Parts: sequence; structure tokens; C-alpha cells
Amino acid sequence: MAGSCALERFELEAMPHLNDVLRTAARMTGDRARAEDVVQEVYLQAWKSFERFEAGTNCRAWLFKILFHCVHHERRKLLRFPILKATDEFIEANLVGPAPIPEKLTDGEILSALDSIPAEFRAVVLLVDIEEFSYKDVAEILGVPIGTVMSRLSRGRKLLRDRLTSVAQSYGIANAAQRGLRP
Amino acid sequence: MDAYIDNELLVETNVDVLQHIQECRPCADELNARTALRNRVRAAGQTEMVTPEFRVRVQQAVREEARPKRSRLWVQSVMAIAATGIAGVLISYQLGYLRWTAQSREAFISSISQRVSYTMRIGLGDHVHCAVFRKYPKEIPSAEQMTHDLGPEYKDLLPIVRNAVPNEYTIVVAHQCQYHGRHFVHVALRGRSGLASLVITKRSEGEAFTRDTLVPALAHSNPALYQASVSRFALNSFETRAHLVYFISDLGAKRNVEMLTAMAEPVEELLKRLES
Repeated sequence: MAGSCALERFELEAMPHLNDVLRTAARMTGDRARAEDVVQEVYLQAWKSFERFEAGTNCRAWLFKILFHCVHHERRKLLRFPILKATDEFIEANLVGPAPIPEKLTDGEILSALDSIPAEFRAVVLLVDIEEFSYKDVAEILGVPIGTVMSRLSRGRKLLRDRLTSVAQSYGIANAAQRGLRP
Repeated sequence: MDAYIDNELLVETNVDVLQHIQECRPCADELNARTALRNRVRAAGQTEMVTPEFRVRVQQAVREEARPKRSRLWVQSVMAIAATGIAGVLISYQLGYLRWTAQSREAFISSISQRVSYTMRIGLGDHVHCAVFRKYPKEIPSAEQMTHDLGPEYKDLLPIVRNAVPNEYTIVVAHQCQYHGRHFVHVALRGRSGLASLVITKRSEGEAFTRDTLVPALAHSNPALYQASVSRFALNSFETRAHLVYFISDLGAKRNVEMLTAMAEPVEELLKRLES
């Protein structure tokens, strides 16, 4: 039957990306259970429009495009929009030269700093730094021009770095790291 | 510089950047810092998150969606025809009161069925039709009669159910029955506070509890129990390779899941024996 053949092809192409889609959904929604619901919806929508998906093109990027469509759809009620606090802006404006890379930070601290940057920057950092998409793919996934991807990435990485610096400073380890980097 | 790190520059531009970096210490430091951050974020973020349960959940949801729509329509139309047929026969017999009660029963079953998922409906319908509406016999059949009515394959359900439920519950029905053309194995219990049914039916192709919510505490139990509730009825269920098993009662969600949990393992074993 043609239907089961298409299903097999879908499972073969789409299921291997489940983990990547889920972890990005979790970082975008900030909630594991909600992320699972969104990802199930992504896969159902993907299946429904699978006939429009061209074989041989990038299935992973296509799934991420659907993911961000779904996330965007729920954004107003669901997504956390962290507000830039005055202190963050102050730190950002007053940082001079290359900020240190706090190597002693844990994965958890890095991820929670990532979670705290505004969604549009977080999305680009997730897609480029973690999911390793090209700028062109990210532009396609998010439906924005490539220049916007580049500026959001630059801004997102800077925000992330600043936040990590302030976390590190609170431990008093930033200076050591800075000395290490800038003798 | 970000584009350089991400390998997004043209080869010529890459060479220019490289040459500049060799001569400019601040830029080299900045490049190192950015590359280190990118690598650190990559390492922290590339985690394995998917549980086997979630993978199965998505796979089954897609498979259910992929099931040809006509099969669901087909079942619904058969059910509609059956319901119309029953109503028609009753009208032709001109048993006025029966006609109306039968119609209102069907209307009730269909109205509550619409509020639970397709696979849950199957067991709910039989419980409401057979245990709630048809009532159990006034004279509770003897154990021998029940064993006989269940048939050799399912007779072991009697001791399983008996041992699993508290003493205040009496087994009032144990038989095989038909509802809307489907075959069920049915054990009904009555206690002071309500009526409960264990309903087992053979699984047709594509039927699965996918879209229902797993009871969180029991997601890792074996078998995994599914849960739904509608009107005053609480439903829990699980599936084996070839069977769907339901426990339905008006005893509340907590009591309902406790009772099915108490008998799930031996029931599953019995069904697996039959399936092998």
C-alpha cells in the first residue's frame, strides 16, 4: 500500500532527528513536558505535509522549520520573554575588550545563561552553535534574511558571553580566567 | 569574525582574516575567546534528551495519524448503521418504550464516547452498554456458570480478578458479549460505592492508546497504563500485542487505577500466553 510506504520513508527520514528537535524545543519553551507536546505536534504536522517535502532535500532543516513555526504559534502565551534587566544592560555597555571565557562553568550554568537570553537571539545561537546549521539553513528555518541571522547570532553570543561573565564574576573566577587569556 | 568561526566566509576572505589574526594580538585573543565559547556551548547543548517512551509516543502518534482515514470512518459508519438498524427494528416491533430507552441509551453512550479518544471508546461503550444499562442478573450466576460463560481461554480471569479486588466487591458478571458487532470478554464487579468492569477485546489493526495521556506515576510500570475520564466514569487501560484491556468504573480515578494496577500483571501474562 502506498500509504505505508510513505510512512516507512517518513520514519526513516524524520525519526532520527527527534532528539535534536526535542532539545531545541526544550530550550525554546523552557519546559520539558511542553516541549514534548510541541515536538509531537511537529511530527504530526510534518507527516501531514510529508507529500510536499521533496525527497533528498534537508529533512532536518525542514523539521526545524516546522518546530519554529509551532513554537512561534504558541509564543505569545507560552514563551518566556526574559526582560533585560538594568544591571545586564549596564554590564553589557561597560564591558571593554574581550570578555573572559569562564571555563570553570558547568554545562548547567551555560544552558541556564542560554535560556535567559531573549528568544530571537537564543533561537539563532541554538541553531548555529548547538545544531550546527549553516547561516543559510537558519535563515530558511526562521524565515528571516541571512543578514538578520548574522546580526542576531553576533548579538546572541555577546549576550550569552556577558551573562556567563557575570556568573563567573559572582564566583570570583573571572579574573583568573581573564589573566589566563590576557597576559 | 563570527562568520569566520562558523566557516561561513569565502575562501579568499578566510585567508584575509587569517593573515590579520597573525599580526593582531587583540583580534587573535578575541577569536580564541569566541571559538572557545562556541565550543563550550556546543558541548553543553548537544545532549541526549529523548527517552525511549517519548520516541514510541511520537512514532505511534504518527502511525495513528497515518492510518487510512476511511478505516475510522468505516467503523463509525458501521456503528451508525448498526444503531439505526437497532432503532429501526425496535420501531417495527412498535415497542414504544423500548425504542426510546434504546435510543436514549445509545445517545448517552455516543455523547460520552465523543469525549474520550477513539481507542478508549471501545471499552467504555461495552461497560456502559452491558454493565450499566443491561444490569447484571438478579441471581448472580454460580462460579461454575461464570467459568463456563468465560470459556476455557479466559476462565483464569476469575481468580485473577477475585484476588486483585477488595472483599467488598462481588463479581456479578463474567461472560463474553457483543456490542456494536465487536466481541468482548467482560467481568463486572459491584461494590457498595459503585460498579466496575474489566473489559478485554481483541485489538484491530491500528488501534492503540497513543494519543491518550499516560498516567505519570505509572508511565514506567509494566504494562504502561493509560487513563481517561468522562462523565462519572474513570477509565484505565493497557494494551498487549493483540488485546486491549480496560478497567472502567464510577469509583473515581484513584480507586480505578489502583484496581487495574492490582490485576494488570497477571492479566497481561494470561493474554501473552494466549497470544503466543
